[in-house]
Parts: sequence; C-alpha cells; structure tokens
Amino acid sequence: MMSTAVLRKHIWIDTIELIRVPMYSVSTIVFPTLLYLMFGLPYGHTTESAQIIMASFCAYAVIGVTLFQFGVSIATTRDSPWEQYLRILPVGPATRLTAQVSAALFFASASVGVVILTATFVGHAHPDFMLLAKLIPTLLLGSIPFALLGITIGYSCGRRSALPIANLIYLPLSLAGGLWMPPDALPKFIRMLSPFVPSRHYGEVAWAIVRGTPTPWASWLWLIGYGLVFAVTAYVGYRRDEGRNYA
Amino acid sequence: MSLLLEADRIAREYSQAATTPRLAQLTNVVKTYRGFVALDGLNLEVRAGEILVLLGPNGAGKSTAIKLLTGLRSADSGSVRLFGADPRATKTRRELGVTPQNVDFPPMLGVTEIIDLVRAHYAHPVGTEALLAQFELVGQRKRSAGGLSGGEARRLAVAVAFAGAPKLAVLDEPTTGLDVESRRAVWRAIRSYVAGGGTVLLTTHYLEEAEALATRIIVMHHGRSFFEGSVEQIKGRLGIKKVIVHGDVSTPIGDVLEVQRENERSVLRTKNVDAVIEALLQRGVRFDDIEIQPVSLEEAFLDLTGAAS
Repeated sequence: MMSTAVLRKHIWIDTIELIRVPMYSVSTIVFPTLLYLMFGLPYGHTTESAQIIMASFCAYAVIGVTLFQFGVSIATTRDSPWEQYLRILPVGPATRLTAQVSAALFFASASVGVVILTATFVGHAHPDFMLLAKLIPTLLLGSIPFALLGITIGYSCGRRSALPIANLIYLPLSLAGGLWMPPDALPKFIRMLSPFVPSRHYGEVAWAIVRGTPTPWASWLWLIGYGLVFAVTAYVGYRRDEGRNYA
Repeated sequence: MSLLLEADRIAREYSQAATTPRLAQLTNVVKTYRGFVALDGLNLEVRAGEILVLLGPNGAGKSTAIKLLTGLRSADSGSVRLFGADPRATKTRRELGVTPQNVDFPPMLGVTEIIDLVRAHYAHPVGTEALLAQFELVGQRKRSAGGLSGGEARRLAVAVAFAGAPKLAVLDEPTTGLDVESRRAVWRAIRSYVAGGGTVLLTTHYLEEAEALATRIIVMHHGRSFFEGSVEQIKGRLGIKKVIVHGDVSTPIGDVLEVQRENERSVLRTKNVDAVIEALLQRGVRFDDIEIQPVSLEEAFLDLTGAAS
C-alpha cells in the first residue's frame, strides 16, 4: 500500500536533492543542449533535418539521465548510512522506486525540453503539438533498456568507478548510435558496429516519428531484447547487493 | 528477614514483568557474517515504558542486534519480533523511531526538510518547531545538512528518531561525539519522551550514560546477553566493594581479592566486607580510618566482561 503523502515527499526530496548538485543538474540538463549547439545546429538547414537532429539530441539527453541518475546515484548511495536509515523508515521499496523514477522523469523532461526549445527558437525546427505528443512518449518508453543498464552499472560498480564507467558507456554509445551525427557520416568501423548498439535503435524509433515514416518494429524488437538482457543483469546486481548488505 | 524482603521484591518484579507488554523480542537469535559470529543465541526483550541500555565492548553484537530489530537484516536462526510482528515488513515499523549510528545526511537537504521527510511517514508526528527546540537546533533550521557541525548532525539524528512520536525509539550510540551540554539536552529529551509514555532501547559506550538513563541494562559479550539487571544489580553482581584504609596494610588478610596502594591509602577489593573490617580492627586499625565504597559501574562492567573472556 502506497501513501500518496509519503510518495509526494519522496519525489520532492529525490528531485531537489539532485537539482541542488550543480554538477548533476548542469551536466544532465545543459550539456545535451550545448552539444546540440556545437554539433547539431550547424547541419539542420531544413525543417526536417533540423527536427531529426533535435530528436537525436533529445535521445542523447535521455540516455544521459538514465545512466547517471540510476547508475551513479545507486552506486554512490546503495551502502550509505542514509540509505540504510531510509530503509528503516516505514516506507516500502515500491514507493522509493516510484519516487526515483519520477525524479528521473523530471530531469529527462527538463533536458529534452531545453533541447526542443533551443532547436525551435535558435534552429529551424518547428515541432507541432502532435509531433511532440508522439515523440516524447516514444523517447520515454524507449529509454527503459537504458534505465535498466543504469541500474546494472549502479549495482555492479563501486562508488568511485561508477561515474567514469557510465561516461565510458554513454559517450561511445551515443556516437555509435548516430545521435551526434547521422549514421552514414560515421567512420567505417563505427558504421559497421552501429546497427548492433541499442542507442542506434533508440534513434531509429525517434527519427521515424519525426520523418513520419512507419513504426520501425525491428528497432523496437532490438530495444526489447536489450531491455530483457539488462533487466536480468540489473536484477542479478540488485540481488547480490541485497545479499551483501541486507541479508 | 532481609531474605524474605528480597524474595518479596523479586516476586513483585516478576509479576510486573509478566504483565508489561513486550514491544520487541529477540529469541535465541544467531547471526553470522561470512563466518564471523555476531550474535550467538541472543535473548533480549524490550518492555513497554523502560529505558533499556545495551552495554558491551565493540564487537559484542549491539549494533547487529539493532539491525535485526529494525528490519535491516534478518537472523540466521531464532525469532525477531517487533510489536509482535516481523520487522522486515514495512507496516511493522510504523511506530518505530530510529537514530542511525553513523549519519551522513544528504548535504544538500535542509534541516527542516529532513525532519519533515521523516515526519511524513508517521500518523501523528511531533511538530517540527517543538522538535527543533527540544534538540537545540532552532538556530540551524535554515542550514543544509552539509553545513552542520558533527554535534549538530548528531542531534538531528537523534531528533528524527522522535519525529514520528513512535511507541519505541531505538538509539544506536545517540551521544557519541557530543559535548557535555548537548549530551544533557539529549538525555532530557529521552527522559521526557519516556515520561510521556515512550519506550527506549539504546546502545552506548558511556557508562555514565547508562547510569544516568537506564531502567534496565543488558551487558552483551561475544554475541550473547551476558548479564541483565538494573544499574544497582550490575554493581552488586560480583558483590565486590572497596574497603579503603588510611595507612599501610602490608600483611595479607583473608577474603581480600586485591590490594592497591594509593599514596597514604590502601584500597582492598573484597566480597566479604564484614570479615575484612573485623580483621582490620583486630590489627588495631582505627575505625575512623576505614571507608567502604561501592565499585563504579565501569569497574563492575570490566569485571563482568573480563570474567567472561
């Protein structure tokens, strides 16, 4: 049974706690837009190309939130005395998880929102309401495998190694997925690798919305497959941590 | 006559104990961490209205006992009950307040934000203002946790244990690292909480704290309850008293366990005060030069755990 007052409190605390860490809020909310301004904006001459680039950097932004928020946050807090204290409070794990997901949704929306506003007012993108109403839910749904990857990092990395490891996964994943430049413009070796990384398929489902092309079901299957794999690794990591710290 | 009185007192104590509800119970609990036996058949119960103090050297199992009781860990064998239910279940802990041993409040959260977060989990929480005043944190209300001194953070940690007006407050070394004044403020808060119908289980390294607060003490050693009783009973456990004689007592006296010379005085530790005084008087020691003192809790404690190991 979840009390809404307790849930609201946990959502609030989880969110403001991260907002007040400039390294976190700036890097998740501002960095994607900065990268967009440097590497995306100059290439979006037509409305369609501008919107495809916008969708790419939105995807890049959401992956960042999922890897950092779940990966780094879990790794740095999972065995802390404060985490132990929260576990003693009369609040169930479902409420805690819901609050963490809600805080992640807040940061994902904020970073995506800033990219969209910049692409619209600085670039040539003209997203209408219908486009956004399809693009944003697609981005959120498609981010589930990355959230599970983040949880895997969180439970398998140490508190110091989680941040560099998350970056080591995040940046190559974004590049190989074609989120910074179109897949065709990638160097040959990376172009060969691209169809096998989850970020590429995450990009594909977002680009299809912007282009108005049919839903790329193959890409959704790839995402589901990666989701299943990372669900298993996340669960194994979680169980191992429970066994070590709370058995 | 005195034996009869003693028997009567014990009988009364037992009948009281039988009717007082148990808020928490550990029965025959064994807990090992990777081969290290932290609890080795511990029996412990917390009775409503008492201040139960767990005493014992580091590694005795005090913190492990508290981790089990607050649902943070589960026992290898034996039973752990909190309010008659399993503390691992969320709803069991609705009337439990806890002070964690090591606090690391999120540095970016404010003092009142932390208190309000904890209060939100309870049906009838204490007012934030009252709590700030009681734990002398009014001046720190606008601070973030990262800006608190060690003592202030410690007081906040104790304050959150009482924030929910719980039935049972579990305090794991609540005053470690506090200055004397802060410690007294915490003691006052604990006493007023118990006077208002609360129950406390606390661990401490400070014997002074146990002496000041405890209505009952459990001495733990090697993961077991080694001794259980009031402060007075612990002191009387070994029945040792100190007989202090002004002057030198060089020849041995029967029944004296140990003689210590302190300047002009000799301190004789004995279980049989009467025999020792008689022997002293026979040797011509003046009665005015003899003083009898009970041992301090610290000495009794060292004797107790020393005898066990």
